[in-house]
Amino acid sequence: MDHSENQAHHAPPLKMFIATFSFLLVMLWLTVAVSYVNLGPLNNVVAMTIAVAKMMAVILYFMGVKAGSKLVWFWAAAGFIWFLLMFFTLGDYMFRPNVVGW
Amino acid sequence: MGVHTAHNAESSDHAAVSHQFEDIGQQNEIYIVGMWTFLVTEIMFFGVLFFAYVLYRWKFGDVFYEAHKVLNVRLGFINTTVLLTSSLFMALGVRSAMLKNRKMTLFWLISVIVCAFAFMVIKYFEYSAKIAAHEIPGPFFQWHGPGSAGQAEIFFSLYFAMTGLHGIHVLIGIITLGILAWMVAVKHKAVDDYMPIEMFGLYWHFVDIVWIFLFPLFYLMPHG
Repeated sequence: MDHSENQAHHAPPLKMFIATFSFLLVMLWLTVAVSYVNLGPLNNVVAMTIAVAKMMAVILYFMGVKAGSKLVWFWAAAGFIWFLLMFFTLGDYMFRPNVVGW
Repeated sequence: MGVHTAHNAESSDHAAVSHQFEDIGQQNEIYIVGMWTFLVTEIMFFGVLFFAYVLYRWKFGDVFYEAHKVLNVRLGFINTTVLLTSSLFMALGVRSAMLKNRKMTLFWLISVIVCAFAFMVIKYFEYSAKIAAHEIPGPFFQWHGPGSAGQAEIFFSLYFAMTGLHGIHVLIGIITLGILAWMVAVKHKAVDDYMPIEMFGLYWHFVDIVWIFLFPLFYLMPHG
């Protein structure tokens, strides 16, 4: 790959950043609005889905992972996969008899 | 001003490629992968706190719900907006650095500093109100709401630990941004290339992502 004569050609379009920012603001308003509606346990699901959507927008566009190489994709994914794996240990807490006290 | 040796002449367009790399593309990719590796350790750092939060909220959901009412949703909302805006400015700063527009790079970096500072000021007012109301965990903790004071104290422990660790990251961000802005202002050769600013941008966006989760988890807690 010898097309990297100068770095300027990598610069992403301005419109992409404005679109990402608008999406983030709309999602922020949405998450606040939904929090005032009682959906029962669905409230948690909606709030976290919106947060994950915002996170993906930041990672893919602001952090440039979408335009990044496979190796960058891999590293970006690795951290979050580890994070999800950690939550498997919740299973232990769920099936343990309740500890008295605290 | 410096004395350029002949073999450096062609690299005046971009930062010199270190000898262990094939070309500038590979060097830049490795910089970014290195930064992501650091961010993976940051995910682990914050991750355990998020785990503790999930565990205790699951156990003490009712008291957590009562305790979360103390937090000011309006200030949290403003701070989220400020941080998202700072992320936009950061992305624009990196873009300006890529385009070698030094003036605009400096402008956006300073804009990010202003946002980060505004975030810390709002956080200061939130913290002071809670400290004044004896809602900081420790010997002076008082809880007048319904439910166990011990459980409410755990909520505030998590609140201060997680937003505090996040705040420390914002503070480190402000210091680093100050150094980067100064380097851009004095045309330091380390920032001839956009990579240092790009790498800091990754850090800054990560700090933004942490807040994206902290805001709904602490300020917008649903009942039950």
